Amino acid sequence: MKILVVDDEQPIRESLGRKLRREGYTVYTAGNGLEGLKLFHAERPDLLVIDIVMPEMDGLTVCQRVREVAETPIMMLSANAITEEDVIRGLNEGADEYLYKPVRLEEFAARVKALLRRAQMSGTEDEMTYNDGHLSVDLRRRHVYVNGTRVHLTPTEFKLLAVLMENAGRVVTQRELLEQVWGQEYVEDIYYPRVYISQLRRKIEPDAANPTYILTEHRVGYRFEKQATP
Amino acid sequence: MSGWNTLTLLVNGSATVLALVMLVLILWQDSRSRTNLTFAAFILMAVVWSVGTLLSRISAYVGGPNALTGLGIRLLEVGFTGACLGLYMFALTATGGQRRIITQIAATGAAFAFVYQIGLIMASGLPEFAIREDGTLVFTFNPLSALLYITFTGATLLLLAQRRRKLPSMALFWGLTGYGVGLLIELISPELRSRAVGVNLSALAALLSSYAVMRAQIIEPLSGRAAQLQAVRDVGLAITSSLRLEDVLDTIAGQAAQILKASGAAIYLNQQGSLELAAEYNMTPAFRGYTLPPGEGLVGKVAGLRQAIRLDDYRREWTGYPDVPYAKDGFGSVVAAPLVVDQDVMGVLLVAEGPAGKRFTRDDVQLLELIGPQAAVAISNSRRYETERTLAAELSVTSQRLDAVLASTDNPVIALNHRLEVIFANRAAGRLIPLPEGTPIRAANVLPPSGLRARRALRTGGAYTYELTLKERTYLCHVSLLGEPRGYVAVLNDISQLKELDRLKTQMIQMTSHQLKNPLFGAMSTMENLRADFGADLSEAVNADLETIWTELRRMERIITNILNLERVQTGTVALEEVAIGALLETTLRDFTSQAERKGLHLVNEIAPDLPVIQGDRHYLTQAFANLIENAVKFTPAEGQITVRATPTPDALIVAVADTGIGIPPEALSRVFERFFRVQQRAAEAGRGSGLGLSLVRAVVEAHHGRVWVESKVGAGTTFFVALPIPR
Repeated sequence: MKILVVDDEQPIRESLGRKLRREGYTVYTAGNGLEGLKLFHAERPDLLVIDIVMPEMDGLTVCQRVREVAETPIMMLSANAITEEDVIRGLNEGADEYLYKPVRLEEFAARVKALLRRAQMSGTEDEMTYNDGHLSVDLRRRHVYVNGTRVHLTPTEFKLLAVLMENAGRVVTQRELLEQVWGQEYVEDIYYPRVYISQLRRKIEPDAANPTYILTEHRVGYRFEKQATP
Repeated sequence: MSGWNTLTLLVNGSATVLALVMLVLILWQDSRSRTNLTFAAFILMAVVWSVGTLLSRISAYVGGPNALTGLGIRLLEVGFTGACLGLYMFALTATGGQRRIITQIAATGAAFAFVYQIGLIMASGLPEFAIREDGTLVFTFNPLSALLYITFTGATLLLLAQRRRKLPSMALFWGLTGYGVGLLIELISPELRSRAVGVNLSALAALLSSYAVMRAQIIEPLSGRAAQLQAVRDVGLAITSSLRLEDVLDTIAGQAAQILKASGAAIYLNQQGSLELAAEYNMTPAFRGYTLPPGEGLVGKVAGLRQAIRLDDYRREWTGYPDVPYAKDGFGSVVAAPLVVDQDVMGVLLVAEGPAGKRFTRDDVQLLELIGPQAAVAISNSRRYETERTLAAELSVTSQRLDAVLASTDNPVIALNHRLEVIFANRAAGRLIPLPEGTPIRAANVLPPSGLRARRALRTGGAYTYELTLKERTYLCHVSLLGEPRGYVAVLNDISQLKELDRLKTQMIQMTSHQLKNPLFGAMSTMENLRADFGADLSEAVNADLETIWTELRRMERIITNILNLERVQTGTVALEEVAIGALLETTLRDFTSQAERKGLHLVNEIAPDLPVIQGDRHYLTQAFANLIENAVKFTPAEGQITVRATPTPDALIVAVADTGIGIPPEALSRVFERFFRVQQRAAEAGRGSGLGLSLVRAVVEAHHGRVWVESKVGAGTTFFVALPIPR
């Protein structure tokens, strides 16, 4: 497994790399966003760890650029998370994970592992397909089409959609979502589902402001509603 | 010659009768006056002389018995003697100013001379006389007696010549002089005497004198009465024409001097018992301010007696403290009257004449006594007026100063009446809230968001402060109660800059903290790697040192996190969600189990089952309760107990974290929630804290609209209480 670590702080870069190497990953490191993007294209890593505030190109921009071409899982690492809004902004730019500095290396490694597991998880276990004319999903092949056009979902977004569809017509609580999509260690990160649901709605709903597929059950959770085939 | 005799007799007789009539009038007017009595004695003798002359001459003329003529001549001689001495005495009295002793000696001498002469006349036989063919009586004076008469008459004429100006009128001077000349003629020239020229001259002169005395004693006072009334009225008008005390005093002094025809006047005002010369007329302005010791001076005496005093000659009669500097050289006759209003002696009015000037009369005293009360009232009024004017001026100055202060201050100031209508707005307020006076303030939309809360605060504390945004600036509006008239006054403070500074400060703290996070993370992660890679190979001592470094790094991390958390909570970014508070407390308490066990502490869970779900920020609430439990663990010695209790009440959830620790001294209790505050006695232990833990607790609780408080007893333990509202 190849992991790219982009951070302008050399000691942090080194430490994270050392830890990941110890865990058995192949690690590439870059000191700024531009260099990081170059390495991404050269090495095609399985996961990116990106600091947000960097010279040359900041983490959010790197995230955007990567998302234009790939669904590689991205972990944002920031010292600057001030409010929940900051975190949400990071996640909205396409990050799958958001960690605050300083974080224990053990936890960091655990989150990396969980994120990789989430990304690798394919629709193979589930043969389910869905097509109502507007939305078409092939869980096994991880294909999603809206009005016949292929839509790129990040691994986390896809996993979220899969869990909701597997439970179509039934409410999935926030906790269940966190456990099933992100993993046991994420149950406290209650704003993850909210952010990802809104991302997902933007991508698949005809009108994200008045969703018809993914409905909110106030203070409980979310429910996927299949639409009638025209 | 008989025609001459007849004329002589006629003149003599008529003059005598007239003089007698006048004498009666004078005595009727004032029979106790020394001048009048002396004059009466003199005129009486003159009449006796005239009657004697008449009797003897008529008797001689008609060829009457010698005895009768002789009796006439005796009478004449007695009258002549009396008139001679009486003239002297009267001249002495009328010119006045002599020492009493001289007057007395003169009077005694005259009396002796008179008695002696009478005795002599009575003792001798029939006087020698001859009657001419035409009936004219011829007689001579005894040469010794004649010498006595000449001496007295000469002294009289000398006295009159010298002290002419002391006499009330020139008529009296000429009358008395003429009388003296008549006497001399009578004495010196037997021829003229035989023709009765002297006696007739004297009779006419007596008439003139009588007229003069009567005029001085009766006519002038009578006609003067009207003039006095006029004068008093003038004084009244003059002193009420001005209200300024200084003017009033000057007017009174001037008027008093003029009415009494005196050369100078002064007014002394009572200043706490001492009399101070406050105004003068025709004296020396430098005398103003001259102060007499209490009770001293003629004026002091007048003030003490509350009665006017007249002195004929200040130099001789006044031996006390001088009323003005060099008064004993400058004053002659003096009158002083008290100025009394409502039992209070406000001062004394003194009118003085120079040493060579006239003497004041009783009328002058009365006149001054008439002026006195008017002057006193005028002084009292103008003093009151001055006081009022000073007060008004001070008030005006104060008011202007206040206006200037209010106008020049940049802080808007608005006063409202109890109906919340604008009654005053300074310039700054006018610019900010352009409401004319009388408009309800409601129109400007600047009232506090909660009127109820504001009214309660004003009622209990007298003041209420709230933030206000106007024209894109933030103001702190401080409202306080206005006493009379009832209302409110609001002072606005532009705190936009402070707010901006506060924002920058917050940003600065956040930036700094974030900047610190990177190096901290670098150090911590390197340390983790170091221990993971080489920990097993390092000696125990090195590992212990690494552990210390690690602990300190953790502490630094905690401080930074706390600062950021605190800022975040205080800037109001809590994410409310449904929080099962019971579970949250249980989890938090459980996290401390191992730590407590290591320290030998007993954790007691008294969290009630089925606690309600509240709206809150899970992250910060966890942090807040963790801080409370952590503190309890930190400050409780081994074997101690820490109890976490949670009980619901109808509208709030009460969480208590109680320990059996060292406690907090009472003086520190109110400050434990302050940022960076640490109780001194705990220094050793607290060195490990950030001083922010309890600040965060309070910030979090307040962000949840809750309340936090503490109860503690040194040596017994501390209990922190948190009340969180339960949604209905």
